[in-house]
Amino acid sequence: MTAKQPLLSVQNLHVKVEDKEILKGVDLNIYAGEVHAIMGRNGSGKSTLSYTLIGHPRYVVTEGKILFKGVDIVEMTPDQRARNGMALAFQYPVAIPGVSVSNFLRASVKAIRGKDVPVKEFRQELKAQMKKLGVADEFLGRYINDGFSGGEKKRIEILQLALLKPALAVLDETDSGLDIDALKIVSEGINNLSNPETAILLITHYQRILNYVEPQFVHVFQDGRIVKSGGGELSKELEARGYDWVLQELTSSAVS
Amino acid sequence: MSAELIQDQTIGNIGNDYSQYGFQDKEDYIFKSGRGLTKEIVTKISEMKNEPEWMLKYRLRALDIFLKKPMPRWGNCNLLDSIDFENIFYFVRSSEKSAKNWDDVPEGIKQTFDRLGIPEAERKFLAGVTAQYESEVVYHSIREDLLAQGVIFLDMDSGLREHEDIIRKHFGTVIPAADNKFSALNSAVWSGGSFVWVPEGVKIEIPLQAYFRINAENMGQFERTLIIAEPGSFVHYIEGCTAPTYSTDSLHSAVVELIALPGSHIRYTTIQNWSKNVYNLVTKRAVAHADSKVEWVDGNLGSKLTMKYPSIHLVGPRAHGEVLSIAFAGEDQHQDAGAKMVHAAPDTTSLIISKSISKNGGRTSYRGLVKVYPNATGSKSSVKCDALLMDEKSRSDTYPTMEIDEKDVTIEHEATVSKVGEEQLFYLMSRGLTQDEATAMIINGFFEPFTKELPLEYAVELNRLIQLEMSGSVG
Amino acid sequence: MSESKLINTFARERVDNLASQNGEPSWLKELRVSSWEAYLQTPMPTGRDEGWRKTEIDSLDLSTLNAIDLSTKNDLKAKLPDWFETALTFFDNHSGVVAEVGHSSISAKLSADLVSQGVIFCSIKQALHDHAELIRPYLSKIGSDQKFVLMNKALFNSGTFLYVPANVEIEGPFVSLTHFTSLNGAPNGVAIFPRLIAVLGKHSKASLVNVLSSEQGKESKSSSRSLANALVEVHVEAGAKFEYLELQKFDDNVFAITRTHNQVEQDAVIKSLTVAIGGSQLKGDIVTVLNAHGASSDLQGIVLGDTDEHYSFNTIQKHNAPNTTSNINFRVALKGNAQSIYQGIIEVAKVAQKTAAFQSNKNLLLGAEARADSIPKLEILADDVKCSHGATVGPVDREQIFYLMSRGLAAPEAEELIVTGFFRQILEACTIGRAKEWVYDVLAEKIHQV
Repeated sequence: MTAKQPLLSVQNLHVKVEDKEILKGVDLNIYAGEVHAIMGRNGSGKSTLSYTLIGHPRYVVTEGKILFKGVDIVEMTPDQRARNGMALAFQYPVAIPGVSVSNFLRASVKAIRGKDVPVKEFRQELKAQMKKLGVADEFLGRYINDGFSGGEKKRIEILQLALLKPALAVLDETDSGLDIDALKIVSEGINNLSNPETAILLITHYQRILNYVEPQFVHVFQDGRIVKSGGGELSKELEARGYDWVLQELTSSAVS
Repeated sequence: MSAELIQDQTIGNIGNDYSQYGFQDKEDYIFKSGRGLTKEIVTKISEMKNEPEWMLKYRLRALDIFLKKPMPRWGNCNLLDSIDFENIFYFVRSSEKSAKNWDDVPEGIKQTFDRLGIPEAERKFLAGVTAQYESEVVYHSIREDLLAQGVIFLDMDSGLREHEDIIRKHFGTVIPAADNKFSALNSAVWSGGSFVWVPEGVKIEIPLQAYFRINAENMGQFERTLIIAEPGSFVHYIEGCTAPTYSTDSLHSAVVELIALPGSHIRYTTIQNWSKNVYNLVTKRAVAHADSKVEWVDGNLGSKLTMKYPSIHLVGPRAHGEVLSIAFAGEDQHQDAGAKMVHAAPDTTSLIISKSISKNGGRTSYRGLVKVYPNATGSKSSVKCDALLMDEKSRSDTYPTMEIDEKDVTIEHEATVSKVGEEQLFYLMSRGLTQDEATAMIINGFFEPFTKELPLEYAVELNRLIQLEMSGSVG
Repeated sequence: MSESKLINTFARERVDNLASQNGEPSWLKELRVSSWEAYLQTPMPTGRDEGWRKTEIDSLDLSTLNAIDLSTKNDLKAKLPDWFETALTFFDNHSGVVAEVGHSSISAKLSADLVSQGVIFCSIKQALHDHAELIRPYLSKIGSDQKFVLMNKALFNSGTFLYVPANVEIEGPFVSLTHFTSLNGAPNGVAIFPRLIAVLGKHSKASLVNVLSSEQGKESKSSSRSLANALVEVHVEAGAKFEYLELQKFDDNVFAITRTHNQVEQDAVIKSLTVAIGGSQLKGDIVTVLNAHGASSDLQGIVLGDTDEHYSFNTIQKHNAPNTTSNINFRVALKGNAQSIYQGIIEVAKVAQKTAAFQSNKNLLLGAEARADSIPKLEILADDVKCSHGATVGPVDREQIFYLMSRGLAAPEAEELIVTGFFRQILEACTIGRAKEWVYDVLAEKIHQV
């Protein structure tokens, strides 16, 4: 297993946003078949990591590498990264009035798969996924994220990932704002993304979703770095003891 | 007016009588120019002030321009055309010399100022007072610490005598005489106004203030103000105006030039409350260099016709401009006010917020321009105009213009016109407020983005004026 | 001879000729002559006039133009432009098509049912011939002091007449095409003066698609401009409902000056969509007068500019009566170094209490040299009103582009999708047949053009 190359390898990643350094040396390896969770307080830099991975122009890499399938993707545009097999489920996906969900999904699927999917086949596939995620048909005619509730946006994000079948799915706070029923459905959607060829990176503030999507690896994010890593049990410990516990532990270990 | 004066009067004892603010003194003037405008009068003005030759030449050239330029064909043409330039006194000197301290100010003038509350205001927080009474400054003081910091705060006439080099370098560079008919007129006959120079890095914490009054019948008031903020400095300048009411019309045509050098910040606050026969035709413009910030905070309540569009030319990268204005037009009043933002450098930003109320047949117009030149990439501008109409006789116009010659910009304009919300009125009245009280409260709320930017005493004064205007107006 | 130059003397002759060559009644000749005289007395607008801001009206030399007659012969077999044939497939339920293609005229064959109900849909020439007394009052009902309107009223010699009698409701749209060749093989440009009059009787209901278009002749090397001066007058009488779609698609030789005047009476409703996608200079005025209690209008506008096209649209919403409602949604996207000047005014008269008027103008700048001016104005003289307007100018939202790119779309693809979406929102309002799909295709084609 270790002989394999990681699907994603983040090495000493430093990122600036408008002259302010947010990520201060992140190291993270994710192999195919793994589910990772990054947990941390608001403002710790978790979302910056997700935006940087998919290549938002506002997030400038000042140092370090992002190797995806062995290739440094730092210079790649977002669409190149997406075609390469990376997808981000946004925490706050933007609305695009006038562009219908169905038009958009077809254009996107065509771009990612590199070929046009016959309309009939595409519709079947789409309907099946929509049913799984409890997305009503009328969404296809609506404009992207325009007037969607928080929960609806999250489902449509997962729906997109289900269609695009990325090698690496990054989920940014996908659990926030979901009631328990929606959480279960969305979690199932996330679990369906997982197979031995793909990996999932869950970014979350709460432990809640980890009851449904079980990560093998949990990382604690603080001040732009991963300060502690562990197995799935770490999330439960965090839930019970709070983030301060990690910080205290860090400080005391520094002293001793 | 000071807060004290305002606080011991209630709405009840002022009632609708607006003349409280329009008392009138007996005229007692040392020199009064003849009516009408001639080369001789301009020369005479310059001679009396012992001005350098270049200023006389400047004035005479401006007079030429004024006489040649046609009247603007926009705004309120009827009212503009009714101005009788032949029937205006272009210069009045009410006392021979600027008084050095309060005791030397002539008694009659002092009484007028007392009633306006200037000394109280000064005692409280004035950094310096340049109170312009008629065309000449009669009272002037400046705090010692400002002097020590090297700040210059003088009336323009003294400024020209004492700092000719600075004034010659900047005078008329922001607003040339030929800019428009009224800037030409001002350039020919200007008298008084303020000259402020803030040295590099000096931040003046307390606002500088000046009061202006028009007192002689048919007298034009043509003050000229120039403020230069050297790099990294800050100054807040406040002018407040009240004027007595007369039966024939008066003309107020000021020119205000602001120069904000890199990294500096100028805020210029005006509360204009001219009596309702004054034509208030003012040209105000600022040049904002790199990383500087200029704010015009502009309240227009009085006058018969105001045409005033404070503008900011954003000439250096990242310069920021704001115009925050309110206008109130009552019976026979037209407030034609607005703002201009010229984006001529990258990453410049601007904000215009305009609020107006028309009542009793009054008319308010917002007239604005946002211009973005090519290569002013990353510029952002946002304009928001809200108008309230108090009755079916009144009128509100909005005339914004956006000229965008650069792609990479974000420009937004929004405007609404409505009447005072019945639901809001009902809600407040259901809590026991009378309709007048509820209306005044809603209107104070409507103007709140403006008043919150004013020093406390001005905010109190403004709310008071609004209450006066509103009382008895509804129901 | 059916051509004449537009310099004063010739044109006066033309006014006379039109009257005699078409066998027009004397009252019509008098109308033409009085319009011509008013035209002569009206000063030529200049680029300094507010409504003609930044247009190249000063460079339009009328004396070089030859007025031509469209539709001089009836020819049911005349060849329609291919794209128009395509367009018609979107209106397969149409109630009638009138097309003027160069000199040929194709007249609508109305169903017996429509004819029996008294519906008229034909070329204006035919209407003047067959229904002179019916059309007569509508020729002078809407006055004007506009130079080019007066010019059209003196010289109009093509266009369409729609008359829907009271209480008649018609489902399928009427379709009208005015198409000409901007260079007639001559060194000089040509001038056409189409006039469309639509009358919706009380409580009637109908829809109309009007296409104004041109293509260059074979000898397209000449630099001289042609003029299309079109007048559209719509009378929506009490309780009637009218939906109107206009497409302006001229070639890059054409200076088009169009004026649409909608007169809306009590409780009547007009919905309209104006789409401008080509021409050298397009100057369009859309005036909507809400004349009586309860009248309402909902107007959409689309400008899609490219190369050095210039668009100057002015919308005027006049509220002359209480309880009237108007809405304008005008969207502009500019590629290349195209330029747009949008001016919109909401005028609320003193009597027009309880008016609700809204206006929105959004401009997307796509080309690095594209320029947009927006001048939304309000003149409100009544107090119990709800009026607002908003305007924005800027490039495509970068966050939207990023979102689509993160789903695999390349940047240009993402931009195209967003721009078509920008217009689709406007198109949603159009309910004429499958019109919105047609317009969407037409727009998508131009957006995609490199």
